[in-house]
Amino acid sequence: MAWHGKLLRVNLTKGTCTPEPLNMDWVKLYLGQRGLGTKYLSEEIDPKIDPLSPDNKLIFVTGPLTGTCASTGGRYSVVTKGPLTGTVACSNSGGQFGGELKQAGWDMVIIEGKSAKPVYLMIVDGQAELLDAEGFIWGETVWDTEDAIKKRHQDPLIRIASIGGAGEGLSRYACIMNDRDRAAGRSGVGAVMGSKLLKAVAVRGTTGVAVNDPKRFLDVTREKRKILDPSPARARYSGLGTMAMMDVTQAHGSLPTLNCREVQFEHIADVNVKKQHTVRKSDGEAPYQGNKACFACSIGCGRMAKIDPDHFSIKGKARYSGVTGGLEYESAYAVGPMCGVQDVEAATYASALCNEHGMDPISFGATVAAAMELFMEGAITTEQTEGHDFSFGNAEALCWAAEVTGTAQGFGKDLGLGALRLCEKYGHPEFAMVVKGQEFPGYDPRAMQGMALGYATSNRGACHLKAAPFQDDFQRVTPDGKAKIVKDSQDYIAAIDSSGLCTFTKAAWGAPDYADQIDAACEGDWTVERLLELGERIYNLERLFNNAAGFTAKDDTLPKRVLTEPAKGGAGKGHVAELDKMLPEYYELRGWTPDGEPTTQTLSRLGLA
Amino acid sequence: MKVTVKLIAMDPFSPPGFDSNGIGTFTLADGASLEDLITQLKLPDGIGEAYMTMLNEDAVPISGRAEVPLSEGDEVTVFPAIKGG
Ligand code: SF4
Repeated sequence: MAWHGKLLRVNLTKGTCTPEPLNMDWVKLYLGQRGLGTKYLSEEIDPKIDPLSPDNKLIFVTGPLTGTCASTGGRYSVVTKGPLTGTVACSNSGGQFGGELKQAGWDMVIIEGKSAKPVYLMIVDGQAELLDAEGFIWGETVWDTEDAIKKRHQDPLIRIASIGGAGEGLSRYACIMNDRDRAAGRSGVGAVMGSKLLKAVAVRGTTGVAVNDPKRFLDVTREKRKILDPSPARARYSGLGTMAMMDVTQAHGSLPTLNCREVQFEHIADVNVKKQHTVRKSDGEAPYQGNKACFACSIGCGRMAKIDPDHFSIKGKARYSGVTGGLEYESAYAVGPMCGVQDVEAATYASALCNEHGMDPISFGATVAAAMELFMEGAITTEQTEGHDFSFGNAEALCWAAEVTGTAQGFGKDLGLGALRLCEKYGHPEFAMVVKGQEFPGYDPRAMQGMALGYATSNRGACHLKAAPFQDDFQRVTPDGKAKIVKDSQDYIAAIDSSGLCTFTKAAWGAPDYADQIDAACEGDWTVERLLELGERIYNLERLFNNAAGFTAKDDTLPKRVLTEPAKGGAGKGHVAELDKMLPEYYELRGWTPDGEPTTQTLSRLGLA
Repeated sequence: MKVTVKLIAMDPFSPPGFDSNGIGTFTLADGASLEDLITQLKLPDGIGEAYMTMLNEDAVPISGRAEVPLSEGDEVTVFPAIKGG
């Protein structure tokens, strides 16, 4: 129960859509979403394959609570081998798509092979078919793709996950977008979809989701909302959104600025949350226009924004004059301080183009920042940038970069490579602020030692969502004790990421709150202990995949800049990321060898031997 | 003694006692600790919630605040215990 026990296997090479029973033994060990998707991927592909080859598989997977009334129960994950990193990629998204897929009667969709021509997958409850995308939506933006599919099939309630120009053009950090502005954002999962010539997955679901004990489930989810809804954390996510974080990292000295040359941004007041809420003179409106919630969510953190009609970026472009998905902290840091851009309207425009063309704004912004450093150092010139001045802080260059990267044209193809490949191409790999090829999110690891370890050991490259050392990092800069905080939170998050619920709920809920809801929805005893062990199992399974793909302990590292150049201000002033002091303890706590390989004992304890 | 307090990531941005930039000046008895200041502030929006503090440029652990004495002219930054974004 809570699972339908059914997956859809789509073979693009053969053009077939085949229902299959879900492996319920694996469900007991991996739950759903991130865990279950990784298990299927590990069993079905060779970790050494080229991620953009037809041998790779793309798995859309829900969790047991996806599609239910549990608050935030609309999440789904896309699991594949990531083309940005070469590691396992697991990108989690909200919006309405995941809930709709589950309500159509499917726990999972596995896409394999490669189509001979561009297609889209149409799912209406139990029926699925591949339809021609050529001359219809291939070549169109994410927004136009969604509109066209709804129009052709005469149903505004169809939910769509699709790629834009970035995915079609195989940008290494292309996203899969759903519901216009929600993204399975990181690691380039959209490029895998593009490589298979699959433009979109469209779904309409009316069958509902059954749970094991409906009365208890309703009681428990209601009780959990009584904890979540009045909590200060919910008030802040809803009131100021994730953008509130920018003032915190600025004060703390952990705001990556000018490609991590700095840890604080002198023009913060021009791009922070207060600026988003400040009414403009030009049209009497503030950039911030209101909130948008994902399926079943009682938090509603998503920002909606309107760009200044007089701003240079949208002059004569009516399609950007309305309300669109706004800046969240991670996108804002990347297209703002990281590039030295102090123009909130330009930042909002660049972020909107990331949604429209389907690219990860974190990786995009950090790649532009790297390009700006290459430009400042003379490694690239206006010859590459087609006449544009790529000095740090140039808002016009940022907007142009978003246009050409989103549509994979000219220098945009270079920018679509991601920071590492771009910097390697122009002879300065040290300018790439990446781990395992994936760009930093908005936390400089010098003032945040736990984050340093979290970035280095994340199974998908630099990531702020796979460990949660925030509270401790904001209180002390020393590296002692961080290994346990990082390891424990990585396991805990792996379980939440497999449930169908949003990770932001952990600001109000504890482990028992998740266990209670899963237990009411699913058969079998779902205790806190079982969930945490399951999280650890997932983390180790991901690690096994990466090790088999060729990653070793030497890849658990950070860019030289943050390891050797001390932070210039804030709480971390004078500090570098002290990875060498944390990694040995971390490996030991994990039950891994000094080479970063899970020991046989660890594997048998977790049922992975 | 007088200390300056800067509130960040707060909703509203400027509660009573703070200017439009979230900055306020507070008078405390000599020998008062950082913990005394936080208690005196009676912060809004934080029922049951922890607040993080920085004294001048240094982060101070919540558990150590009672042992940190304040001095004339200190700058204290206060923000809610945000758990990621
Ligand atoms: S908290 Fe935000 S991201 Fe999470 S489900 Fe709700 S609206 Fe979506």
